[in-house]
Amino acid sequence: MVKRLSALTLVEVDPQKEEVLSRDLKRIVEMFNEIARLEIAEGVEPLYTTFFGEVNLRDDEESEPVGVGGLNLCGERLEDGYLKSPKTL
Amino acid sequence: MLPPQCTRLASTPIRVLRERVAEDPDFLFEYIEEVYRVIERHEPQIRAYITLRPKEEVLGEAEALLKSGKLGPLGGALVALKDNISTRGIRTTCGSRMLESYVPPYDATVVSKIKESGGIIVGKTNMDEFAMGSTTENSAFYPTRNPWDYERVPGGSSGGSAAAVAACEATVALGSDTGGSIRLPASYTGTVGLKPTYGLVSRYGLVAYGSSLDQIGPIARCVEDAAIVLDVISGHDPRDSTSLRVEVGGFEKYVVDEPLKSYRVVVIEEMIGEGLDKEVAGVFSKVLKKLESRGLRVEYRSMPLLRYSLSAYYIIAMAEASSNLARYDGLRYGIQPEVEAVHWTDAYGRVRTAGFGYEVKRRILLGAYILSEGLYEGYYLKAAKVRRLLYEEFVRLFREYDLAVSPTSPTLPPRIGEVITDPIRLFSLDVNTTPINLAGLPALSVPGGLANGLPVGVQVFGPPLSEGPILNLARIIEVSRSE
Repeated sequence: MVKRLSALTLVEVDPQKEEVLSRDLKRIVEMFNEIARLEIAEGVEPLYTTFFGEVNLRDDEESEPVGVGGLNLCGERLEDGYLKSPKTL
Repeated sequence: MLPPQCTRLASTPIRVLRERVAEDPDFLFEYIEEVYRVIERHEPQIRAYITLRPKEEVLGEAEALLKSGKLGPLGGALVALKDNISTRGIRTTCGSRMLESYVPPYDATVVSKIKESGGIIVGKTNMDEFAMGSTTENSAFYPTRNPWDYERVPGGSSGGSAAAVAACEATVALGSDTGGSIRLPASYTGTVGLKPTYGLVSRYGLVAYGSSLDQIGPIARCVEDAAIVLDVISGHDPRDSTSLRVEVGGFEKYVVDEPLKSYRVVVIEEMIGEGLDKEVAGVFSKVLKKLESRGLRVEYRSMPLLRYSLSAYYIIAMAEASSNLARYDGLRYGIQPEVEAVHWTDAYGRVRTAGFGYEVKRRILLGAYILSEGLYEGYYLKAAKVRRLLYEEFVRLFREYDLAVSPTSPTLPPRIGEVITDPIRLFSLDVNTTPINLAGLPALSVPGGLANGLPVGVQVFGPPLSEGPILNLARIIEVSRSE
């Protein structure tokens, strides 16, 4: 389970902690199974948020572009004004 | 109720500070000097802060504030901020190696409001990494210690904020509460911690953990200070899509020593049942007796569905967390790996592997598990349905009652290392606080008294937007403590 989830989430776990993690995950999933086993009547709608107000959507506004200078937080990745990133293909 | 680190001057409440500074502006400098003396003396043991601003910088800001003549409602109060609240020019680490050197280019809305209202930011406080934890032991930097007993945890995840306020290393603080992260540390450190109604306080600039549950709120040494800060930080914000359009303000006027109405108070039996320490039960029972002696009617009700709320909460929170934390890719945020000739998945994996700690990884893995095809319906969807049922039960409950009370935590503050290795024990500390977040309700933890020399918090909660009556009842509990 740990290996599969680790590959799926791109998070590697220290091999020394793998056994402990595996045990922890089993115990937590066991706790979650309480919910999986619960019988809920037909027609109950899931609740994803408790915000029932009107969702605020801002109007589009023109603003000053950040520009290359504004990217200084990623400074070490800039080359000739371009942001370097890993290959995606 | 103050621990030994506090001095009379360093424990000055906001209203008194405001009045004293208005009479004699130099008082603000004396006050700041004293708070920094406390910090110098006790911070090496407590370790409440991740980033502390230099005293000279803070004194300079105090001078500018006095010159401006706009002392505002905070009157120069020193405000500590949990390190997941964005501060322009001050690093915001979220207690994580991932954001160790991240300096936000903007202030969160709450930070702008604090500054506009005469508050001075004193520093950024320690927390469980990305607010995932209940003890502040999951910080990537160091654990924070409880000012009442250095061998014990201050609670979490806003443990640094609560410890700083309890030890008089700040006037007040802001924390964030996803499943109890303001109230639990408030309970363990003898402070007042308030989680507002979902949407009352802007989340703009708060680093997201569980977006449908997160709220920012104050941690203070008294109910009045919490009300003053809530007055400052609440209100509609167009930058937060879930910000409520409601009239706010005037919370301070609810802080009076008598009930503003004859509140009908309820205790949910499941919140005082299995797993409740006898010391906590003893303090809670005394508080109930004092409320009754003031003429308030206290009744008991059962809510069997509550036994599922802890599981429902952790399923929803972990699912939201695994999605929210996907943004730490090392390009926009996060530690920056070597990208030359590296495939995207390797670079992304390296960032996540090196940047996240054990607890965060555990929750990301579980979140992905819960949301996987074939399991989603059984876990996440079911938990969202339990959330609906729970919400509806609270709606029915608060048709009959004005407010509810419970112990904030079922236990006294655990010893450092005592619960961190047992996830179920760790999660159980939140058993009385998580249902509140699932239903989006307001809740406050106020000290009910001491047991074995350690603080015990009482949680007061009510229907949406009942912060005023909650503050009123909390104040009554606060004044009854000394009777």
